[in-house]
Formats: sequence, C-alpha cells, structure tokens
Amino acid sequence: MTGWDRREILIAGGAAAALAAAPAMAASRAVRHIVVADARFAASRAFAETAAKSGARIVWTEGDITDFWRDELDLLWRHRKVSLSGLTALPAFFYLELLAMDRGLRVVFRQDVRQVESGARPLIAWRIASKPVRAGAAA
Amino acid sequence: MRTPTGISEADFAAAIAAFESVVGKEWVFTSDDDLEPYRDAYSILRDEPEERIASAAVAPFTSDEVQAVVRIANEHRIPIYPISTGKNLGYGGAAPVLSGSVVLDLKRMNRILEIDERNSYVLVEPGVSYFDLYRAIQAKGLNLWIDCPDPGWGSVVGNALDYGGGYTHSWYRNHFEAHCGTEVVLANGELLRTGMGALPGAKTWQQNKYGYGPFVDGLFKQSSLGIVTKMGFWLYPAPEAYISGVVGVPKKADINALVDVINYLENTVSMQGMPVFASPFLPFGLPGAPPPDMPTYDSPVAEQEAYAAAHNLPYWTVTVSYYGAPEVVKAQWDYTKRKASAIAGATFSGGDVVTMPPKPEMLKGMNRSLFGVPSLSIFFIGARSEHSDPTQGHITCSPIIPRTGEGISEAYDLIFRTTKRLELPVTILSPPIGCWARTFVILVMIAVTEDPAKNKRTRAGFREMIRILAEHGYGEYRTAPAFMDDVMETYSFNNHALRRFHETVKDAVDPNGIISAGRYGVWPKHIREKKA
Repeated sequence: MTGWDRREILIAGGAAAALAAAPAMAASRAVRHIVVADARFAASRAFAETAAKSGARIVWTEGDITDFWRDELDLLWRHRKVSLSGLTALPAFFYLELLAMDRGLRVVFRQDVRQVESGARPLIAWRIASKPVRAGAAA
Repeated sequence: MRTPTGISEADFAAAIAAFESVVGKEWVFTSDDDLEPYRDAYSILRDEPEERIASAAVAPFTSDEVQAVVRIANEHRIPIYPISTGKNLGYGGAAPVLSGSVVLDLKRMNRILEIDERNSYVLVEPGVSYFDLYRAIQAKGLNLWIDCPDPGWGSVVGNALDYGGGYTHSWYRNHFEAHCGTEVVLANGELLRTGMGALPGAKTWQQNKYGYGPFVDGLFKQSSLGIVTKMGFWLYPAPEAYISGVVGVPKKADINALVDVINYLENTVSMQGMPVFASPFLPFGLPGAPPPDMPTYDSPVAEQEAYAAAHNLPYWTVTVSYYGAPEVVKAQWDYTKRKASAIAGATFSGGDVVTMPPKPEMLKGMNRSLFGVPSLSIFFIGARSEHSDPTQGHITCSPIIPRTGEGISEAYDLIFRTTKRLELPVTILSPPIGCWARTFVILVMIAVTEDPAKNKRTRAGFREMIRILAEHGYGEYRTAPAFMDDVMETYSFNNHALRRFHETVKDAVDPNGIISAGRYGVWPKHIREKKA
C-alpha cells in the first residue's frame, strides 16, 4: 500500500475501516459520480478503464458490494445523492437498485449486455441517479 | 391518488394533510414513483390486480411523531402498515398486507440510543440496520459482537419482530429472544414500555426482560397490536477464539445418532455455534450441478451409501463451531469428537483454533455472519443471482421440524414428494437449519417469475403444500403476505382458539383496526365482518 489507498483501507474492515471512515468521507465529499466495476469480467474491466480515463472514480468489486456499501456508499448517500453507474452482474445491480430507492435515487438507465464468452450470463449496464422531480425517502 | 378501501378521496386528502403537518410535506409520499420502494420486489402477485400496493407512505422521525400519526389514522380510520426498513424480501418486503394501507416507514428513526459494553446491550430505534450497529460498535472500538441475519441490510428491530435468526452463539441467534425491553406506540397513540421500562427512571430496562406482572413483549412479535419504536438487545461480548470443525458419518441412518449428539452438545452449551447439517444427497441443493453418476435423493439408499464410500464422502456432515477462550473451544472440539466417536465410522476434520477478531483475508469467501459481520453476499444464491435462471424473486415455505434425525428424514421425504407432485419450481431447498434451539427450520425457496400464469399455478401449489405440511404436523413460522391467511388457517387447534384469541386482543387494543390489518392472518373486526 503506498501512502493511503482509500479503497484498500476501506476493505480492511473492523477498526481500521472505522478509523479510516472520517478521512474517507471527507475525501468523498468531492465525488459526484462513482463507477462500479466487476474485476471478474473483461467487459466490465474495459468499461471501468474507459471511465477512469475521463476522471471517474472506480470502485472495483468481485461481484459483492458489501464493503463498498458498508464503508462508503451507505454513509455517502445520507449526505449527498451521488450518482453511480456500472457494468456488473445482476446481484450487484439488484441490491444497489433497492438500496438506492430507499435514498431517493432511481435507476435511470438499464440495458442487458451480452458477454462474448459462450454460456456466460449477460451483464447489466446501469446508471443510478437522483429522481428527476424530488428527493424522497429516508436518509 | 390511490385511496384505502372505504375511504373517500376527501377524507384521505384530509388525513394526508394532517400527516404532512406532523412529519413535514417532504416525508409524505403519494405519487406512484415515490411509492415504488414500497412494492415487494419479490411479490408473487406483482403487476396483478391483487398485488399489495400502498396508497401512501409516511416517514416519521420520532416516537412523538409516530404517536401523532397514529392518532390521525384513528380519527380518519386510515389503515397503516409500519415497516422498519422493509428489507425482508421473500416475506413481503416493504409492501403492506392490506392494499391501500399507508406505509409507516420508520427508516428515519435510525438512532442508536445506548450501547453498554459492560453489560453488553444496546437500545435502538427501528431504522437502525445491522450495518449501522456494526459500524457504531467498530467506531467506538467496543469489545462486542452483533448477531446478524444474512443479508444484513435489514433492521435490527424488524428482524427480531419477524422472528429472524443469525449465526453466532446460541444465546444470540434467536433475535427475538435476545431482545430485552421494548417501547411501543399503541393504536390509541399511547406510549407503552415493557419489562423494567414500565418503571419511570428504570436502571435495568435492557438487563431484565420481565419486570413485573404478565410478560407482554410476545404480543408485538409478528403483530398488528402496536408499533415498536425502541427495542433493547443483548449483545455478545467478543469471544477470543473460534473453531470450526466437521463431523462426518457414513450411513444415511447415522443422522439419528448424529443429531442426538449435537443436541446434547448444544443443550449443555458445550457447543455454541450454529450446527450446519448437510448431505450431498439432499434434493435441490445449492447452485452447481452434481456429478452425473451420483445417485439422487430418491435413489436406493444402498446405492447412495456405496457411492459415498467409493468417493470417500460422508453421507452426512455437520459443521460445528465454537466461540470462547482458545483453551476452552479446543477442549469443546475434543469433547465433540469423543461424543461423536460413538457413531461407527465417524470422521473429523478442521478444528484449528482461530484467534478473533477475524482477519480481513479470512473473511473473504466466508460467511461473515459467523463473526457478526453483516454482509450482502447472500445475493449470490437464490433469486436474481448469477446462478439462477432469471427469476423475479422467491417465496419461501418455512416449516419448523423436530430436532431429530428421524424428523429430518420424514420432512425431506414429504417435501420432496410434495414439491414434485405439485410441480413447484423449487430453486433451493435448504439443509435443516439450526439457528434456533430445539427445532430445525427448512427453507423451501420457490421461484417467482414475471409470468402471471406461472405465478398463479405456483400460488395454488404453495397453498396446497402449506396444507399438506400442516397435516403432517409441520407449521410454518412466517410466510409472504399472499399466504398469511393460509398459514394462520393451519394453526387451528380447538376451532382456531389461537386466532380467535388474537382477534379478541386485536379488537380490544385496536378497535378501529388501523394497524397492520391482516398481518400474520389477524384481521380487524370490520374486515372480518365483510369477509364473513
């Protein structure tokens, strides 16, 4: 780990995550959009690498967004409705959609993306953003 | 604007305005888009006329606001349906049982009011999730564990009230039994505190459950009698070490002795963790195709046992776990081996002492809930997972079965035959789950699709299965709203004496029938009379 890599600190869990939470939150105040990528899939890696070139912040997962939710997004969405986009398998999309609805955000784009590998299930390209009319639901 | 049945638009508008005056306009929701989070993501009635849809939602911030909302609901006869976080997918989620109800969304009441490390308890509001509580304990560096279900995104209060279970020490896995003291808003708007909380200034509200006189907390489990706004829980002082080991036995019939051994260990608190029984021959297992030459559940037992022997597989395994001091858990594992060695051919593996807290790399790929760490990884199995055919969700048939080997065999035989005959689309049939003391629960997860015709057939089959299981002495401990009446119908001893008692209490404490009408099959008088 060089300096402090926020992602690595956050996934360390336990007390380390709690200690890291304050600076992480301070740093994330500037974040307006986060891209969620699944490192297991070539298409998702390519998607994230393209997004990174345009300056987007990338959260790498291997399908399970638990650490991202627990250590960052749950706290972040209490303060600001940061939008997300991703190219992920169905489970990550599904529970992010439900969690987003609780915080007054909605899925504003969704498209199945067929994978090249034979027999592989489609990935979902998606974007979650603030509702167009008014924010609703609990912080 | 959708309105509750029997309520005029003018009356409903007046009630909505009154709700807004209490909680603020921004916390009352009436548009279809705003109400989308209050639909059941797994509903087997989705997009059908019978789908349970809210007419509005109100999100109070304090107990005072809950009281005011309840008084308004009483005045206008508005049915309300409290939820904590509404994440109990498979059992209704955030949707009301009675369509047209106003969901009382308690997510904003998310304060952790007290954490006491020395006496290991917490007092929380219903909007506190397991993630919230875990984070708070970690941030304070307290030497405490939570016991969480899987997934851990739901409410600590809501899960306990719905009779949820977890994975750690047996004293904490039954979340309702681990509670101590509640605060409840009654249907007349009055505030009730149970146990020692009834004593003004009580110093032991979260330390003594029973207080003085009849114990009433059970009236608010799976209930329509009040709205729990605070609840205390006993927490697990963080153990120093953990052991997981696996006991295997070679014959199908060995399950009888194996369960007896495990029961003895658990009931003498010689083993604390949840025992997880498994067999490669159980039907409808977890995702992943079995080897093509492996005998199936209904193959002759001799073939199964021969296959197991040839492949060096135990017929049954039980994964056992221990929490405590390193020398104690090691002794308990040794004791387990001594007791289980009485079963001919028993094998043992694992048993390494792991020092707590678990290191992050250890948690990868493990069920974090074993260590009181909430997770979302359960979504990798079941509905909308990477492994299932596209399904909308699932409904779960959850019979409670005896904690005996014979009970396991009889129940699985019955469930296997019944689901096959009824052509129910089973996605997962769990192993016997021992999250609560003295019984097992089996979870039969059945696919919900986007095809209403298929869902209709599934509903009919599911109802028949509830009836058949009950005929054989197996009652379900909870179910989706579409089947709550069906399950309550099976608890019929002495001409439904239990349901009639529930109705008597309901009519007495909630005469206008405003709270959670129909929840767990208990309907208020005015709706019962219409149904009659």
